[in-house]
Order: sequence, then C-alpha cells, then structure tokens
Amino acid sequence: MSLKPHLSDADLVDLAEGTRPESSAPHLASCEACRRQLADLRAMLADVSITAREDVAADAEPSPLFWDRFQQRVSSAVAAESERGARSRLVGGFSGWRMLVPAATLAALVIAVTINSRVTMPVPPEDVPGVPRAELLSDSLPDDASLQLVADLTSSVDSSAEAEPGLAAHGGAEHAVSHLSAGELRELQRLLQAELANSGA
Amino acid sequence: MGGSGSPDVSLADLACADDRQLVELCLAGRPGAFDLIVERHQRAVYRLCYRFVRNHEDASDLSQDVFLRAYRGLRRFRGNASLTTWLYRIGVNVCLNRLSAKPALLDKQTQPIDEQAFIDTRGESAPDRLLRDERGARVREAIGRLPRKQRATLIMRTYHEMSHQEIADVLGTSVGAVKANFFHALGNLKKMLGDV
Repeated sequence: MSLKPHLSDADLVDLAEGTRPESSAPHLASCEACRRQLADLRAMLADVSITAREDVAADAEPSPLFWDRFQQRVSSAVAAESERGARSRLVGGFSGWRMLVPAATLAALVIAVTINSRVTMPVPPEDVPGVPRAELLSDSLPDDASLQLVADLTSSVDSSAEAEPGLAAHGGAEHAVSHLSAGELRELQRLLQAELANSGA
Repeated sequence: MGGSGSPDVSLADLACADDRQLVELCLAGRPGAFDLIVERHQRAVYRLCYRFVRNHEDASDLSQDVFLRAYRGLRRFRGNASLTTWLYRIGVNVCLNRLSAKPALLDKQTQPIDEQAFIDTRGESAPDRLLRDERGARVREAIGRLPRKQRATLIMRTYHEMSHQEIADVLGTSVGAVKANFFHALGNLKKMLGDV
C-alpha cells in the first residue's frame, strides 16, 4: 500500500502528455489507481488528438477573397461604431437637457396652475409679437419668487411651434410631455414633487 | 479609432510596427492601424471561432464580433499579455457566450459524415474508415457538451496546440487550473463516450 498521496490532476496531465517522465513519479509503481487513471487519460487524449488532427487537416482555408471581404466588413463595422460613438458623445452632452426640458416645462405649468388657483392674478397683458409669454409674465410679477421660477423655466419654450397644425416640434413642451419614457416620467414626478414642496403648494 | 491626433506615421512604418505599437497608434487615431491589427490576426481568430461553431458563416460573424469588441475595448488592453492572447480571450468569451445563447449552433457542429471534408483514406478499409468517422463524430459531439471552460481548454490545447501557460493567459487563470480543467475535460469525455 502506498503511503504517499495520489498524483494530482496536473501531475497526471503532465505524465499523459509526456512532458515529464514516469520515473519522476515513483508513486505510480505502487499505486494501481493512479496507474489506471493515467492509462485512461492517455487513451482519451490520444482519441481526442486524432480527431483534432483530422479536423485541422480537413479544415478548408477560406478563399483569399474572403479575407479581403472580411477586413472590409470589420472596417465598416468599426467605422460605424466610431460614428455611433461620436454621435452618442454629442447626444450625451445634451441628455441632461433632454430630461430637464420636458420635466421642467411640465413642472412649471403645474406650478403655474397651482399658484394661479391660489393667487389673484393680475390680468396679463396681451401677447406681444416676438416676446415669449414667460417674459411678459415675469415682468408683471417681479416680486413673486415662484412665478419667477415659472418664467425662467418656460422662457425657452416657443409656443408658436406647437400651434402648427398637427405638429408638436421636437423639444417643444407638447411633444416632450407626450413622448416621455417611463424613466422620464418617474424623474418628472420627482421634480414635480420637489418643486411643489419648494413652492409650499 | 478615436483620438485627438493622427500621428504622422508612414504606411511603411505602420507595417513594421509591432502589435503594441499598433495599439498605441490606433488609440492615437492613426488611420489604418486597426486594419493592420485585423489583417495580422484575422486567421487565428477565425480558426478559433470556427473550432467552436464548426461552420464558416457563424465563424465569420463571430470573428467580426471579436474584432469589434477588441476595438471597443482597446483602451483596456494593458500590454502585459500579447495581443494574440488578448484577442483569444475575447474570442473564447464571444464563442462561449454565443453558444450559450444559441444552443442550436451546437447541433450544427456535428456534421453528417457525408458532409465532412475529404480526408485521404487511401489504404484504409471501408469498415475502418466508417468506424473512424463515427468515432470522430461522437468525440466532436461530446466535446460540444463539455462545460464551458473545459471545452475552451480542450480546444485550445488539442486543436490549437497552445501551451498550458498560454491557455491560462487567455482564460485569466492559473496553469494548475488549466491542467485541472484539461484533466476533467478528458475524464468527462470518457464518461460521455462510455469507453475509450
């Protein structure tokens, strides 16, 4: 009976592959289990190696034309990737605005309605061509901080764009509100709650 | 490749650049640098992918995917392994992931005997050839059913004749773990085939 531990997986692999001689593993001489394991390993390795050699020999190298075409495919894919990357970097710079503009616009509208229901509003002046309503509003109520906020938030909205029949321009309030994703809606809800809390509504 | 500048390197210099220099040039925005990387490594990458899927169409798609991923991750290439090893690592991951996502690819791997490429069998009797073909088909099918790392290790060792160290570099593991994987792969094949 052998007192030494059995050969490790790595030892058996080395012996099966012949990278180390059996003489370096005297344990083998006294251990039937390890000898049997090594014999099985060698047989299986020989079997797999024959199959591998046959497969490699049988592999037809693709036509030389394939490699040119392959390079072109990779090159086109990489170019498209670069272009996408550049575009997403550009868009990424505006992504915060994309979230903020519709959210802020809606927040402003809700705040305006809320405040309007509580405060007796002075009659706003008629629309002045070329001047956004928000500016007129802010001019008329300079001392009200919450209305100033509304004015600030809505000053970038061009209401005339939405007035065109059937069109809600990209970036416009109507389009923004009607095209919110689930994430944007959640963010909008959060902003609204924050703004309402700030305005004391 | 993105980058602020486009270093003034002639085409001749580019062709002489080693892989690491090519990666640096690529990162610096030198046009053509990545094309050269593809040209140098496409055959090795394709062969690796082919070994996993055993058909030209999928091997070609997977190879393209490997290079695209390499391009995206080029900044993460540290240079402490060779570019070949790094590409092999991506290749093994891409192939194993694809096989996990599309097990049908495994079915394609076992080609009917009649469709297998011609092997010179002059001097071999018809029954012997039939037995050899059947055995080969069973071995291939069994390799396809091995656990992921065992399969990858076996393919790299027996088909690509990579050293244990090279395989360890590709799989990001130790030589001991590679040998253990190889040992268990052969043991599992024996169990699946039922005999030797």
